[in-house]
Amino acid sequence: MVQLVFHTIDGARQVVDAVPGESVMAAAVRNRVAGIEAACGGSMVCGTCHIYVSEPWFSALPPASEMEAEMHEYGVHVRPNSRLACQIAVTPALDGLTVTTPEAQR
Amino acid sequence: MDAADQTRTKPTPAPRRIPTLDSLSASQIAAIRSIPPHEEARAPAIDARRPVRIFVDPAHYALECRTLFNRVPVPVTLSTMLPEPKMFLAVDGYGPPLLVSRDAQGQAHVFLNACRHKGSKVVERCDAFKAGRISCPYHAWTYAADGALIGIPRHETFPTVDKADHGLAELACLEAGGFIWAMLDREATPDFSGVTSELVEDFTALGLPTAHVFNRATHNLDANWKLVIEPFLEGYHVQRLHAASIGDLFADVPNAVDRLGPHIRQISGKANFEPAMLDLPDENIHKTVTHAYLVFPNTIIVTSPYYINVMIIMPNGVKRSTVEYFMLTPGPADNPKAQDLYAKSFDLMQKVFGTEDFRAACISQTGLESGALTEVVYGGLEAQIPIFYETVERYLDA
Repeated sequence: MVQLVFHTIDGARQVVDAVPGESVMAAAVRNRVAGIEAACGGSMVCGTCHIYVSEPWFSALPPASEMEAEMHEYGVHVRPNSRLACQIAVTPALDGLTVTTPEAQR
Repeated sequence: MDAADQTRTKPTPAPRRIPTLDSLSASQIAAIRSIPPHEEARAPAIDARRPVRIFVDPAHYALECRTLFNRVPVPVTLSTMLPEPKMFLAVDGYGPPLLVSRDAQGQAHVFLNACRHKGSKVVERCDAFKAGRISCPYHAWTYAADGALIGIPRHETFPTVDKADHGLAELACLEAGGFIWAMLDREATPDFSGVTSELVEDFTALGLPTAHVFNRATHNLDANWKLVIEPFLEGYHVQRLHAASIGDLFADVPNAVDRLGPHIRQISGKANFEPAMLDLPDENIHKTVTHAYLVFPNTIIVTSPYYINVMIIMPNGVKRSTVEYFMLTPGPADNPKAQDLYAKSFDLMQKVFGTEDFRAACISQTGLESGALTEVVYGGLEAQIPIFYETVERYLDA
């Protein structure tokens, strides 16, 4: 099991167990993490699984694809460490991954 | 403590701009200067009539839709409903679902609020909101604020669907004078020449483009759209219908009337009006006179001392209309007294318009449907109504 830590912008914290191979979004949805909508079911078109990834994990992740970067251009509350949770595959190396959900997803 | 320190510790609010006579357009000032003292005002005696069928006949309504509402630009909403880039507002009152947006560059757009996949309404909520993109609730096809389709889930399963060809269907639109106008029929040749510069100057002088929407309300009425407009084109009813509310604020005399292209501007002195009041320094002009506009074909603007009423009357059947009412203030209430004044004014206007003017339209509709009369007759204090209908009829006959 890999543990992922979700914070909301106002400080609430939730730790969830994720399975290597699934996406961070899938783990969040299965555990009903507040602030993750994932309206398109992981197709990278709706942008509603937007998260901010804390260091050191942000720098360690494979960079966002061109399509994911384009989705952030249409996003709200976008920051330099914004990612889409559906595009991050859970690996054992991500144990302890700490992310924050934005003020709003749309 | 020196002056600079005082400024730091207790910021002085910006002085509130008083809307004086001088702040208005040259054309408004000339009209106001032409208002005679009430005792010299003479109402004309006229004999103008219209057949009852223009209010009750579905075929006549269909003709109005085809030759008027589908041929001229109509106000869809106020510019100030979308004060920032990347905002959206769904508007349903005209029948077809519309979606107004402001794109990342600030440009206004009006679309049909229908997903290009299965036609579902993309935006179901009815408030204005900010968002970088919108996703259809059905299959999450996702659009940008400029209408472009930016994402299809499992796009590989639609090998022949090119996103570039499936943006939201767009109506021709123009933003001017504080309104976002659109041509409701996408097949019609867009012609915005009726949105005249004189009208835009008047509305800019009144502050419509930059006003704040203090509150808004939607009224669904069982009345023909013209019956909803009629009371705002005549002062005859004010002393009678509004006897228990605002009647004593107004005089039983004709207004100063000007035609601005197809639009009508009426300005009237309040009950205590004297021309000499116009030369009082720093006087709020809206305490002295009332402006009432008919924005052709279907929008009413009425000024008050501290706020402006705007009503877009959207027909959606021969005897069915939706009124989008907006109460505009110069800015948000910045103190409890202003908040209280605006809130009480909003309640009063819902009562005056809702239970008096709109009620009058509905009870007229019921009586006209009964066949009791074949013609409606208009008197000298109602002379702007047949003037308005003459403009409407030019479109119907064309």
